[in-house]
Amino acid sequence: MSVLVAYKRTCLLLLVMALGIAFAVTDLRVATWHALLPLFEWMETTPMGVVGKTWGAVFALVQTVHLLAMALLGGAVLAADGRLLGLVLTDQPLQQVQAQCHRVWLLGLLLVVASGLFMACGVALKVYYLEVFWFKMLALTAGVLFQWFVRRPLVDHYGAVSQGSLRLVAVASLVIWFSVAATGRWIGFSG
Amino acid sequence: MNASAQAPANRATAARDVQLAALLASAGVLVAAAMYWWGEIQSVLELLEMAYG
Repeated sequence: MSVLVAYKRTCLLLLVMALGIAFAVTDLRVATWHALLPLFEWMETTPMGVVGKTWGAVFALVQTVHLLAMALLGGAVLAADGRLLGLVLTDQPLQQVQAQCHRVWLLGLLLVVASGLFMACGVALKVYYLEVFWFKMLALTAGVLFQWFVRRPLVDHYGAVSQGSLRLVAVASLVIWFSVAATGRWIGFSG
Repeated sequence: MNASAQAPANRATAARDVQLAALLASAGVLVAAAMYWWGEIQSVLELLEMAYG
């Protein structure tokens, strides 16, 4: 029992991973997908959906904001993870770099989600049937959770944790955000 | 053990917990990403083979 209390974060993580695997391999995943169809149908009827479908110029403008926000977010990730790997900004204090990059990352994330929501409304039924869209949503969710519940707490304990664990987390973070960007671009090429 | 001695011990335990969780999460991410991208690359290779032999 004391081990569960002392390692509650690790236990919670294992529980979340087990639930995620159970969700992925059971019928619950397909049932959830079917249950979400009315939501996506409704999204196309919202003002954002109508504007996105009707005025291509507005959609293109919002898409530009989306891509610039992705560049902002990606830049923050590259700088923060590059510092953890000891590749860039090594003359700056690690925690100062992480704190400043986190603020930029947060701004990028807010812009990405807001512009992405608008774009998704315009092409809701198209993306609903695209497998890669769901992988992007999965990667984005994993990236946000990873940033908040794994990466930041580890950086907060800088000095008490090993350099190897910081580097592994940096590599995993880069892989997640690369996947978010790559699957996002894939959506653009699909359908 | 008094309170002043317990605090560093608690911090060390918290750091171990955070580090273990980070290692497990990172390993999970890397394995999942490797499986996903391996599958995607294989499907593209199959398409190229069908198209060009």
